[in-house]
Amino acid sequence: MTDPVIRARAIEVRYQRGGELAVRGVNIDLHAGAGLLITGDRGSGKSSVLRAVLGLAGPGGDTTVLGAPPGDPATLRRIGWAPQSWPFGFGLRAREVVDMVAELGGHGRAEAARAIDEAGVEQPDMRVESLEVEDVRRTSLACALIGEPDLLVLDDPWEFPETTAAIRRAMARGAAVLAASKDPGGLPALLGASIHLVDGAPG
Amino acid sequence: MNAVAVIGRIEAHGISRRRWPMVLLLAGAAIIVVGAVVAASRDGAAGIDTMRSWTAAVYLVAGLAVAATLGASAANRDADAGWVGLQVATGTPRPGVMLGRIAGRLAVLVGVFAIWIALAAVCSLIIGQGGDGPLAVHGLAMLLNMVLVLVVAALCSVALGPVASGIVAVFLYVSCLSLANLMAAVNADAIGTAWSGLVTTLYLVFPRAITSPMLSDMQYRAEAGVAGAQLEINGNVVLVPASSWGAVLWTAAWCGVIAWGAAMALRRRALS
Repeated sequence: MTDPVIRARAIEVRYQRGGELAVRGVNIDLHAGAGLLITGDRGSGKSSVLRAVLGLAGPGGDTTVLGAPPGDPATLRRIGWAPQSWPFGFGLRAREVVDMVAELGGHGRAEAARAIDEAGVEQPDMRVESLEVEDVRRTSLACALIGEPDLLVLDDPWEFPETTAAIRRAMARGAAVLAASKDPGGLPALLGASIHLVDGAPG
Repeated sequence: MNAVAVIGRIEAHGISRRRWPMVLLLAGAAIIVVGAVVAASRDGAAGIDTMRSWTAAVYLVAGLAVAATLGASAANRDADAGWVGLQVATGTPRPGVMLGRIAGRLAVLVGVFAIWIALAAVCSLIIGQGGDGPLAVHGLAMLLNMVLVLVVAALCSVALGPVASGIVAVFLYVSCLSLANLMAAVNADAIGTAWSGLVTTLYLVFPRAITSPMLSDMQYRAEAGVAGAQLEINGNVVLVPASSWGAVLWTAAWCGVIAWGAAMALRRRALS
């Protein structure tokens, strides 16, 4: 069997030195072509687990992502990240946000335009602060779809037809998908495995 | 294009489309124009001093507002809102992300000062005072001072909120200004020798607020207005000399070190 895309043992996330653990004791084994959904109430630590995998919030425990420690710049180029937090990039158009992600990831604007189409962003030329919330979520999804990454990390993806189609396509070509959602809807069936968090720990 | 340049370009683009930089830019421009109108009503040296003091007030007050606000937004809220995290998640090393964010803000600051300096030169020409090179040099000196404010605010913004970051940066600039005044007093033997060693040491080590030849002269004659009160100690008027090229280079080097420190500081910050 090939090495897992994500192998994590006892993930710990602490946002402030000396502060409480936001996440503890989470184990993940996610293989290529498979999916994993993290569920839980607001504040249960779902997003923190995703940030730990990306190296945005310093993880404790033993974690490797695509064979490297979390946050490794070369590895991050193989990951598509759809953040939940929004709005950001004030003053920019949705298309410019996706263009930036594409350019920083070494892709061209044509790839950004393809991702925008795939995510179904309806008004890509509108400034982000004026976007409808649906288009905000689609723009976030578009950022993750650039360059056909080996790992999709989706924070609170809304279940648009484009979302399910993108997840199916990614898993079919062998990419792994890690998502977090408070209201999972049909995502558990789509992704296959799930972890439920209560107060930062598997419940 | 490398990642720092890409992030710098996108940050400058986004900020320049927001309302507050435009409001500050236009407010400063309006004050320069009004200053020119007032200056045109006065003859000779009085007219030149008026134009210069109004413009210098814009460079100081509006310049501080622009620089502190730009720098104070370099991390904190964008780091909590997921914007910085999205930039980092593209595989751009964190120091590169922060340097790009600072570079974009510097570009906006330079743009604002370029417009004010050009406008002041045009106004001076129109009211018959020529292009006024000393005023343009003063604009460049103040730009360097404001770069210092911006990078200090950016460094603070990694750990503090935007308001606190801006306040710390302005406080540091005022401290550097006070230190330059105290050093002038030491050189003029206007303060006791007990303090001169401490003042000299601090002046030599810390970044220096840059004083242009124009401001030095106007401050001495008590004509600088808001931009620089006359320095009077124990009844003696003290000349605050124009900064040397060494002081300019020293402060520029400090700006580079502080920007580098901000880039390194982002490595340890949790991002959303």
